[in-house]
Amino acid sequence: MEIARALQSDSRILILDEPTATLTARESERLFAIVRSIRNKGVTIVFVTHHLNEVFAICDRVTVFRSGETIITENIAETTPSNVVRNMVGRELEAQMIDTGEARKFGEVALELKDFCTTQSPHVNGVSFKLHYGEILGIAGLVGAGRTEILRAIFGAEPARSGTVLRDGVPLISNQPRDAIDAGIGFVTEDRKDEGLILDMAIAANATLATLSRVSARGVLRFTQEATIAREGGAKLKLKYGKISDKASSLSGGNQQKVVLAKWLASSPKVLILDEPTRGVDVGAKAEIYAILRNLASEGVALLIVSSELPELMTLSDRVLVLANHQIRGEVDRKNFSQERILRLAYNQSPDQVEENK
Amino acid sequence: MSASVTSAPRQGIASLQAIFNNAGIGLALIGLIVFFSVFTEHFLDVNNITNIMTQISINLVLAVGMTFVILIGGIDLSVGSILALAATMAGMAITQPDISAPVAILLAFFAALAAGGLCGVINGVVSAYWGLPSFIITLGMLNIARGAALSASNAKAIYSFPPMFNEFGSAQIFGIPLIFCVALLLVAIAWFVLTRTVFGRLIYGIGNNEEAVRLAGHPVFRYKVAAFVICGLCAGIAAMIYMARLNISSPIAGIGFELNAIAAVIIGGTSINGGRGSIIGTLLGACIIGVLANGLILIGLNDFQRQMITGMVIILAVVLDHYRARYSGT
Repeated sequence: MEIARALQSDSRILILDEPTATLTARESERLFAIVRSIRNKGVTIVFVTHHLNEVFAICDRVTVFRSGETIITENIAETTPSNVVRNMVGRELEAQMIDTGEARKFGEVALELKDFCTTQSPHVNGVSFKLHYGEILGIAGLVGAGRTEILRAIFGAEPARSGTVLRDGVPLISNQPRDAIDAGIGFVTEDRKDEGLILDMAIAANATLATLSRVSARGVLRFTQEATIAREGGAKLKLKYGKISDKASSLSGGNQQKVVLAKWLASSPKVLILDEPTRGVDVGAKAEIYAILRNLASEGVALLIVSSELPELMTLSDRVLVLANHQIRGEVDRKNFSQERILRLAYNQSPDQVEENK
Repeated sequence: MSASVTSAPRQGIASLQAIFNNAGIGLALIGLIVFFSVFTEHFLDVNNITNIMTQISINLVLAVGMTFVILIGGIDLSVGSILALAATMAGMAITQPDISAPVAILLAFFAALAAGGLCGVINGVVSAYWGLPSFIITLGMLNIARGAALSASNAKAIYSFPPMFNEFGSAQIFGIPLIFCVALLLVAIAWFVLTRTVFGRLIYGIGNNEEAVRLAGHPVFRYKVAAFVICGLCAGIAAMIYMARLNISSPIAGIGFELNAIAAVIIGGTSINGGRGSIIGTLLGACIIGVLANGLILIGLNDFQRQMITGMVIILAVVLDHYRARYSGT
C-alpha cells in the first residue's frame, strides 16, 4: 500500500527503506520490476536494505555506512558481495565470522528431548535429541515445520502434548516460563517487538526484566543496582545507546536484539534457546552477535538455535537438525555442512505425509 | 524532499506532546485556577477551596485504583456499584447494636474492604483467566454489585452512624479536609508502588507487552487480578469516605462514579491502551475535574452545560493521548 502511494506521487527522488521486509519473494520480484521501470523514467532511487542480493539485483551504486560513517561508495559493476560485506563488518569482525572449523569438545548432556510432541504436531511420535554443554545445535526447516513451537514448548511458553524434557538428566516439568528459567534456561524469542522487549520502557528495565530479584530487595527496586547490571551487560555485548534510561524503542534493531540477549545473559543461563537471533539485524551487529554466541558456547553454555538463514546456522552450529512437518528428518555434522544437503532434507516429504495431505 | 514533508507535522506534534505531559497537565490545572479566580469572585475563598478538596476526595480514591486497571490495559466500569455494595455492607456493620463505636467502625471498614476486594477478585479472575475484555466483565459486575446492594438493603438507605464516624467526614487538619488527606495518602502509596517496586514495574510491563513479561517468567495472571483487587479495595475505601461525608449509606450511591474516575485517569495522561501514565497525572486529572465542576458553577453554568464541558475535556484528553502514542518513538 505505502509503496503504491509513494510510486503514485510524481517524486523525482524515491527513498525505499527496507521495502521487502514484509514482502514475499514473489512480491519482491514485482517490486523490483516496478523500481527498475521508474528508474528508467529518470527517477533517482535510494534503496536501503539488509539484503545484499537485493543490492546486487537492482542497484547501480552501493554506499556502505557503519556506525554513522560513510565507509565507501562503489559501482555495483566494480565490486562483489564479499567486498561489500568486508566493508560492512570491518576487518576485526570479519575475522570472527570465518570459523576455525575444527570440532570442539563438548561437556555432558545439558538438555535432552525424548519423544517430545507439541500440540501442533500431527504425529503421534515426537522429536528426540540431545544438547551438550558447550555445543551449538542448530535447527533448520521450512516455515511451518514446527521449529518455533518446539522451542516455545521446551520453555513452557506453550503446553507440550507428550514427551519429556530432561535437564541435566532430570525431568523438567515446565508448565510456565518460570520453571524453565529456574532450571537455567533462557529464551531469546523470534519477535522482539511482540515478545522480547517492552519498547516503551528503559533499556535498563528491559535488561533486568528476567532477573528482577537481583535488582530489588523485598519487592522494592534498587535503581543503582539495576543501572549497574544493565551497563555491565551492555558493555559485554557492545551495546550502543545514549543513556541506560532511554527507551528501548530508541535503539536500532541490532541493539534492541542485544538488549534481549542482555536480559537473558543477566540470568546466567546454562541453556540458551534462540529463535531467529539475527532477524532484522544489520550485518555488523550480526557478526557481533555471532561472536557473543560462540563465546557463550566456549564458556560451556549449551545453545539451541532456530534460524531460517542457512548460512547463519552453518556459521554458528556444531550440528544441524533438520525439521520437516514437526519431525526430525535428519542431522548434519559440521564437516558435512552444505546448503543443498540441509535443504534437501527440509523439503523431503515422506510417504505418510503425502497420505495425510489427501 | 518527501522526508521534510513528513517530519514537519511530527515536530509540531512533538512540542504539543511536550506541553501535555505531566507538567502540561499541571499547567492546564494552574491555567484553570487562574481563569476561575479572575472571572469569579469567590473561587479562591478558603471555604471554596476546602469544598473542592472535599468534593474531589471520593473520585480521587476511585481514580487511584482505576489507574492500576487502566495501566494493565483494562477498564473497570463497576467501581460505582462496588462503592454502593461496600457502603451497604459497611452500613449494616456499623449499625450493629450492642457494640462500641470504634469496634463498629472497624467492622464496617473491613466489611467495605471485603466487599470491594471480593468484587475485584471476581472482575480480575474472570477477565484474566479467560482473556475476556474487562469492559464486558465489569459491565456485568456493575449490575451484579448494584443488585446485591439493593437486595441486601431492601433498597433502603442506612443511617444513624456513630457520631465519631460522622465527625471524621467533616474533620480538618490545618484546614485541609481529613478525607482529602486520606486520598492523598493513597496517592502517595500508589505512586511508590508504581514507580519504585517490582510490582509496579510489571504492571507497566503488562500494559506494554504482556507476552514479554510472561516469557520473562512473571505470573501475569496474578498481577492482573491484583490490579482489579486494588481497584475494588479503593472502591471500598471510597465507600467509607462517602458514608463519613454524607452520614448515610445508600444502595443507589455512586451511580456514574466510574465515568468520573476513568475521566480523571485519562485526563491525567494515562493511555487507555495501557502501559503508559502516572499516578501524579491521575491526581492532576481529578483536580482538573473538580476545579472545572466547581468553577463552572461559580461562573453560572447549569448542570447540563457543565456536563457538556466535562465531556469535551475527556474527548480532548483522549485525542491528545492519541498523538502522544503515535509520536512517542514507538
